[in-house]
Amino acid sequence: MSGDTYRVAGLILALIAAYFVIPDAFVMDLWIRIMLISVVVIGLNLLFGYTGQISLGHAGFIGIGSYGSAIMTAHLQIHPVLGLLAMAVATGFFAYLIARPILSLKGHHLAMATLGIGVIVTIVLNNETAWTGGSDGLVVEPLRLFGGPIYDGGQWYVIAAGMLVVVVWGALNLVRSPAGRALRAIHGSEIAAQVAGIDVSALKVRIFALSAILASVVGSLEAHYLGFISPGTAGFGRSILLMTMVVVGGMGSVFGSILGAAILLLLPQVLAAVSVWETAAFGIVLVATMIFMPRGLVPTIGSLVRRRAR
Amino acid sequence: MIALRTHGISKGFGGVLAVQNVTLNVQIGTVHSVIGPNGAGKTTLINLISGIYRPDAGRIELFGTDVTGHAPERLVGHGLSRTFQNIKIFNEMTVLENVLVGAHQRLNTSILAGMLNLPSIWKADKEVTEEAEALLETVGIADVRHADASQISYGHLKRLEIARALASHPKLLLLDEPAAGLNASETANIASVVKGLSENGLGILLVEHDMSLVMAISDRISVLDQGKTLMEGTPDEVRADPRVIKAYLGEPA
Amino acid sequence: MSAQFLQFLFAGLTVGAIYALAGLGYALVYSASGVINFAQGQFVMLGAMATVGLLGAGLPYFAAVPVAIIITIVVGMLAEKLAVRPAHGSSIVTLIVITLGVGELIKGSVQVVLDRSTHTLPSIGGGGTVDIAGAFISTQGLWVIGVTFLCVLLVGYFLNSTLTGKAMRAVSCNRLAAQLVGIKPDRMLLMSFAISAALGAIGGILITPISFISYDSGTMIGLKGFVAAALGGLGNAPGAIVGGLVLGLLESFTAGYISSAYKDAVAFILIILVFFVTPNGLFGAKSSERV
Repeated sequence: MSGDTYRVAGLILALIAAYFVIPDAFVMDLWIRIMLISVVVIGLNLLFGYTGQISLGHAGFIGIGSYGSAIMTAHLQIHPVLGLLAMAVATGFFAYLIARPILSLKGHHLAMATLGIGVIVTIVLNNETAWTGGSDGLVVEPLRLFGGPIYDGGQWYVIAAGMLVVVVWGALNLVRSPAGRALRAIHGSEIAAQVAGIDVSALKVRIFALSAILASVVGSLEAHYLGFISPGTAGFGRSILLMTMVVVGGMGSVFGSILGAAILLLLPQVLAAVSVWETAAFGIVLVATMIFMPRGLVPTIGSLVRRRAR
Repeated sequence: MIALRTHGISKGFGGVLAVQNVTLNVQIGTVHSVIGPNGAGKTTLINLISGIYRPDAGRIELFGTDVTGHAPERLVGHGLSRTFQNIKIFNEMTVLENVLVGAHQRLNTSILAGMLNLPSIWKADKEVTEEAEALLETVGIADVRHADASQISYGHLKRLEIARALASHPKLLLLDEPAAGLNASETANIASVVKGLSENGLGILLVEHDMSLVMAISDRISVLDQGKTLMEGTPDEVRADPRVIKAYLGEPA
Repeated sequence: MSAQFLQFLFAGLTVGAIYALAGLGYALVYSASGVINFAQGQFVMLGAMATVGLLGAGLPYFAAVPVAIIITIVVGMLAEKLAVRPAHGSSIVTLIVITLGVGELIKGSVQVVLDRSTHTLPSIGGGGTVDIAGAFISTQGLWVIGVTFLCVLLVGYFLNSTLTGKAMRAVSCNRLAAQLVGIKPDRMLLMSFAISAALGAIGGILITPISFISYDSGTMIGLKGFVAAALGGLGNAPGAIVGGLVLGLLESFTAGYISSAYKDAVAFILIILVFFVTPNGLFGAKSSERV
């Protein structure tokens, strides 16, 4: 128990310290976005890094959360928090429905099926312009908590950080628990897992739904935070970005997910002067990581450190 | 008490009948071996009994309950466990964790409970971990318990499979070629572990090619050839039977 | 048969031909190595954009086209050598991510070297339309179908009647056995990448006069090419061609008779359905796991 408690405590301290070191609103915005997307990446990592189920359409769930919340608050006058919860439930339900048939597929088939779902979501978002505004995008109301609207960066930082800490804690616990071991066993050998008594398809469906719900919640928050969303939020490009964050940061590593998110959101900032190189650099990062560090940064560094310690 | 009873089970794959009308019983506390030349259907038989394949015909009963067609994970609740001929270890986990997975159905496996780290989870984990370490002692690989499963030797892996299978507290254990690829002393070690388990009351169905192992520890032997049961009897009866000799060695020249 | 129906039919065959070429590329690479090359769509884009660039640099059309195809082939071979081969034996997921990365790299490089705008290419023979039974059919479309047909014949001849082609098929059937008779699988894989790059490039150059091209056109085409290959049964070359044509026709009729907004969704809905009805595609072989 102690190892993880220290890690979570360390994270909380780091987030508090970071808050006071942030120089301006621009950096604050960046960190908020990193923290929000980290939650999605952790969810995706649980599905992909731990359980080995590839999902190339995960941004679709972010889009569902974003647009669902935006439409509910704008057209249906529903309170943002209620909208967020409603979308979380709806996305979970949707994910649950499609998960069982889709997760019976493996490898390329699963990749394509999940990719297809993501693309179909994007196409719907682009075309149902009456509800979604199509490719012009949609303006979103701010989040409202305890009465007042939340505009202040500082308040959003607290919300995003709070969510991240809770999700990290939950994920670390899950990984060490019997359910977490079962997920990793599924990754190792589905047949051996079944023989050991694990209901493999049920567990795959549940972790898929969980990761979809996390993406939806972040989508809702993002929509209220950014104030404006467009169909690209659910697109294939974003799904690849999420996968890259998992892969670079570390498959099967909770803190690796945060690191991957940070690196890949900071990369465009670093390349700001030569922004036209962004896509190419991105491609190089993907290829190089998979060849030289296939397990991602955190596990690879972790192994190196452990080997030195011997 | 009869742990396992198969009644005339058959299984075909695209026109090839891998297993035809096989009937056998395994008593608890005994070792029942299944032998036969390659292609005789032994692995298919184990896959049928462990729920990986569904029989085309026939019935399978565990401790008197009809479990024909049940999925593998349901059979664990009836006391069944098995090992694999081509090792299926969970590579991203340590040796100890592999064994812990074997205890899956004895633990609280809900995702929500896991995320909240409920006391029921970590208390049970503590108990099961101690048990798992004892199991690793029994099969003799306790010294590598924190190693990555992908890093240990083949002989250790074979024994890890057995330890993992035992973690669910089975009453019937299916062993698919546990001595394949092992040298004489490793085989002798496996033999004594398996014999010890049956003496403790476990029913064991053993598929093996190593005749010395089979003859040494079996109480009964079924001989399969081309999917059919050729004969069943004690080791002495099997050894002397001319049909068995013919199936393995062919007609004299 | 109404003129409108003929129009949609023809449009479907035209775009279907491009999907067929891309699908054939996927099938060749997959059968030689088990790798799904998610960068295939970028080969299509690269062939077209390279031609655009070379024309812009002053080369005449009949020179720009072969040079562009060669550039694409070289890029394809580099991708195999530098990105795919080092990862040989890695998990499916690793390979998927690597080829995605290669695709992004190609896309990003075109963005840097050329630009992000939409471009077109001259139609072969000057363009124009032909009236067939009341439907107006573009001559470029006829060229697309004709050249694709020729490519398919050539590839078929290569695979069935030349020694190298048969060697490629041997590797896809049984890599080890092929090695034992002296065939170098790595060389065959390199060749499969080269051929699929060429096919993609030709497809891109053919379709651009009709549907234009930009640095990010490759993704959708690639995905649809994959759908074509999967429809036909991954690794099944004739299946991929049929798959491409079927997809093109379904898209065209959907756009014509149902809704043009959702025509892109056809490919993905189709593939999801196919996965559940016939997981190995319409013509694919059954596969099973060894227990």
